[in-house]
Amino acid sequence: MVGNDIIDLQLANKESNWQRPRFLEKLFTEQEQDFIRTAPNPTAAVWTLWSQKESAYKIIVRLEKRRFYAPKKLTTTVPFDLSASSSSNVGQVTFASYNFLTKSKITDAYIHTTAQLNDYQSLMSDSFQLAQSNCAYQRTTTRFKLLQAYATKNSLSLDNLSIQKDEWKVPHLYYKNQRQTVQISMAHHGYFGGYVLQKF
Amino acid sequence: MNKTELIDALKEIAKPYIQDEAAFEHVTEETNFIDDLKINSANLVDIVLDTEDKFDITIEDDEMEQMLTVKGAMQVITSKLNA
Repeated sequence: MVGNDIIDLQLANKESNWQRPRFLEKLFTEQEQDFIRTAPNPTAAVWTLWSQKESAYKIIVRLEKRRFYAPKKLTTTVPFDLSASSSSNVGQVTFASYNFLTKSKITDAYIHTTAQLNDYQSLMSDSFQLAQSNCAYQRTTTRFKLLQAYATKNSLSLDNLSIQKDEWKVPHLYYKNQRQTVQISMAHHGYFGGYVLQKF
Repeated sequence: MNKTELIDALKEIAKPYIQDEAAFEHVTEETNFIDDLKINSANLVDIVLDTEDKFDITIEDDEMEQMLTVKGAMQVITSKLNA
C-alpha cells in the first residue's frame, strides 16, 4: 500500500504559521517538537514531519476505512539530516501496530514524501512543478503525469487508462474500465504535484 | 447558543482557510472541512485553535479526532460548554 504527500513550501508558509501558540503541540509529539526546535531549518523540519504523517495517513484510511484527525497518534522517527538540500531522506511512521517507511525528497521549493506499508518494494514516483496552482489544473496535470508514466512503462495506450476514486476518496487505476491491482496515490499543493505507484 | 448560531460561528472560524467558496455558501452539519470546503489538513489545526480561542475551551487530542466535520466540531464545543 502506498501514499504520498507534497508541500509547496512558499504556499505552506503563507497558509500556516507554525509558530503560533499551541500549533506544534497539537500536531507533534514531544520528541518531534524537540527535533523541530533544534533543527538547523525548523520550517523544513515541520513540513517534512507533516508530510511523513500525511502520506502514512493516506494508507491508514485505506487500511481502516475510517478518517480521523489525530496527527500525534502517527509518530515519526526522525533520524535524518534535514540540512542537506535536494536529498532523499528515509524515515518511519508508526501508527497502532502499523509501521510505514517513508522517503522524502526535500528541495528549497517543496517536499515530496512517499510512504509504504512494512517494507520497501519497488515504487515508481515522481514530483514536478505545475504551471498553474488552481485545483482543476493541479488535479488534471497530476493525473495525466501518473497515467502517462504507467502507460509508457507498460506499453499501454493512454486512452484505455483512467483513474476513479472510491467512497473513501481513494484513487484506483482502471484499464478498459477494469480496476487494476496497482496502487496509486496522488498529491498536489500550490505549484507542485507528485504521485507514487506500487504493484502488489 | 442554538444550532444555527453554532454553525454560523464555525463558518466564521473556517472562513480564512476555505478553498471552495461555493461549498461555503451551503455549510450544514454534514459539511466536511477537508472534503467539502477543501481546507488543507494542516489548516485544520488552525480551526481547532481558533475554536479554542473563540469559545475559551481546551480541546483534548481525543476530541480533536472528530473535528473533521461541522457536526463533530459542534459536538465537541457543546460538550465543553455544557460541562
